[in-house]
This record gives sequence, C-alpha cells and structure tokens, in this order.
Amino acid sequence: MKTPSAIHHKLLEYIDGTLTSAEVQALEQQLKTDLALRARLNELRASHAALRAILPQEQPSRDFTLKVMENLHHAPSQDAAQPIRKSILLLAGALIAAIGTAILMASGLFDSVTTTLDLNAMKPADLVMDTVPTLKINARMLVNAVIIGNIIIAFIVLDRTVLKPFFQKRLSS
Amino acid sequence: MIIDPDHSVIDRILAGDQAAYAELVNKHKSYAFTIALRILHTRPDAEEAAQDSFIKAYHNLRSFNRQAKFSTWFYRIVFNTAVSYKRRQRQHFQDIETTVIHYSQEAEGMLEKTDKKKYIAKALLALSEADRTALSLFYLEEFSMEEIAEITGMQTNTIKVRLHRARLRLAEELKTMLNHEAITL
Repeated sequence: MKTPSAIHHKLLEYIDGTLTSAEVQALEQQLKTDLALRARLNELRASHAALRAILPQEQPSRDFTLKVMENLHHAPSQDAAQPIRKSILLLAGALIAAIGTAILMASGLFDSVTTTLDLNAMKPADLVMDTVPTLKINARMLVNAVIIGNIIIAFIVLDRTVLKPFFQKRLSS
Repeated sequence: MIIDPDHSVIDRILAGDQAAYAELVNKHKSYAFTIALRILHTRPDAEEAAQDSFIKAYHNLRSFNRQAKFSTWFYRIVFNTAVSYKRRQRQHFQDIETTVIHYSQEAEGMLEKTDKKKYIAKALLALSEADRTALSLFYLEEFSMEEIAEITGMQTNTIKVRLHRARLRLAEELKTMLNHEAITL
C-alpha cells in the first residue's frame, strides 16, 4: 500500500483523539453526509479495537529481576560490534578493489583486450535467421562497470555503517 | 530538563546504591520484555534480550544525559538489542522463510482462542517486520509517536506514515480475509 491519503490520516487521528476540536467538527460534518467515509471509519475503529485487545503487555518470568541483579556486573554482550566490523572490512575491500582496478586501468592493461562473441557458431539449426550479429566485448568497458559497482557498494556501506550511526548518535546525545 | 521520577532513582544508583536498580527493573521489565517479544517472537530470546538490555543500561547509566525520559532512552537500548538478537537468530538458525513460518505457528498457537484473534494474527503477518514493530509499540499505549521515533531511531513523520499505513493495511487485510464480516465481529 502507498502512503496513506490525507483523509485516512484524519480518520486515524480522529480515532486516536489527536485532532483539534475544529478538525473534529469538520470531519464529523463530512461523516454525516459521506456514507463511504463513515463505513471506512467503522472498519478502522474495529481493527483498532481488535489490535488493542490482541497486543497486550506481556510479563517476563518471575525471577527476571533477580537474574538481572545477579548479572549486573557481567559485561553486556557485544553482539552489535560484529556486524559493524564486518561492514568496515567490506567497505575496505570494496575500496581496495576499486582503487586496484582503477590503477590497472590507468596503466593501459585493458586497452587492447577485446574479444568477439560469434553467435553464428552457436546458432541452432532450425533458426529462421541466416546470420545473427556478432558481439564485440571490450574489457575496458567491463572493468569500468566493475569499478562503478564497487564505488556504489562502498558508498552504501559507508552510509549504513559510518554516517548513519554517527548522525543518529549525535541526534540522540 | 524533563521531570522524570526515574531520575531520582538513577541518582541513588550512581551514588552507590546498587540495589535501587531493582526498582527500575521492576518498573520497566514488562514493557522491555514485551518490546523484545514483539521483535523476537520467542519468550526465551525475548527474556535474554531484555535482561541484556538492563545490564547494558546499568553499565551506561552515567552516559544517560537526562534530556529525555529514562524509559525512552532505555527502550531504545531494548529495541537495538532485540534487533541485534534477531539478526543473530537469522544468521544462526533460520532463513527468512522459516522465520515467517515460525512466527505464524507461534502467533497462531498463542491467539487461536478465538477466530477473531486468529484472523488478526494472520493479518499482522502480512505486514513488514518494521511496520509490525511500530504497530506493536504503538499499541502498548505507553509511547507517543515522538517516543516511538526516538526508540526506533526513525523520524517522527516516517513513524506516523508507517503506523498509519500498517493500520490501514491491517484493516484491509481483515476485510478481505473475513469478507467484511470480521469487521463487525
């Protein structure tokens, strides 16, 4: 489903009681004449009531507090550090691959590497076409695509592992 | 600065009264456990994640800057810890497909008391993980949209759109599933 429409936002805010009194009055006027809107409100109210009933607060075990107090001086688990370390390694790998390939490219290693893919040799006997086109593959073009792909990966990893956590931390502090 | 009764308990803990921490644990354990359970879907994992969150909070109590309520700061730790556990759960035990089946069995086992509950559990499964979590936090009725945004590390507007979208989607799912009848159950 796409972003909810303005009237859907209004209906949900009406149910939650977060509309201003002027907005409530305007919506109630609209509800008097618009049967479809009233039906929609009733559907939303029913699912709201059902969710309130079905998502109650859960209770942990009886000795929960005791267990916490007993383990207070144990070091908390560091499970979040592992993915960050992996991501930084992935970032370094992507950058090294991109830089390495770019250096090889600049040295002219791939300039003369081209190949022709002759599809005629693989043509099935019952194909209607007499000849199929041959494809020229340029290594320089392929390597350029690999470099761009690596740089894109590096930017995504940089955003997820360094920039986003940094700004979230700044925001929360 | 926010007036939060938890701040005076924190002062006592920081002054050396370690036993006072049990007051905070008792006060917040149900919500912490519920949040973890909504994300992890199994009680043992949720219990472990919630306990771990209390231990993390205790070790970082000095860095809590009191600009927000203790509960918001703490539930964010719970949310992040549960998400890390979820990642670990996926890596160690299951791929996404079996996780969905597992949740379905657990949710249905828990909710099969009435048809209505069963249908809602099924409708919930049709939502994305993030939408389901936002919805669960919202229906705990402890949190405002702003607090849910802070806990999950998202923008308030994103949370609002996500919640409204999830609630509309759920109503749609229920309508489709029950052929208009569930709505009036």
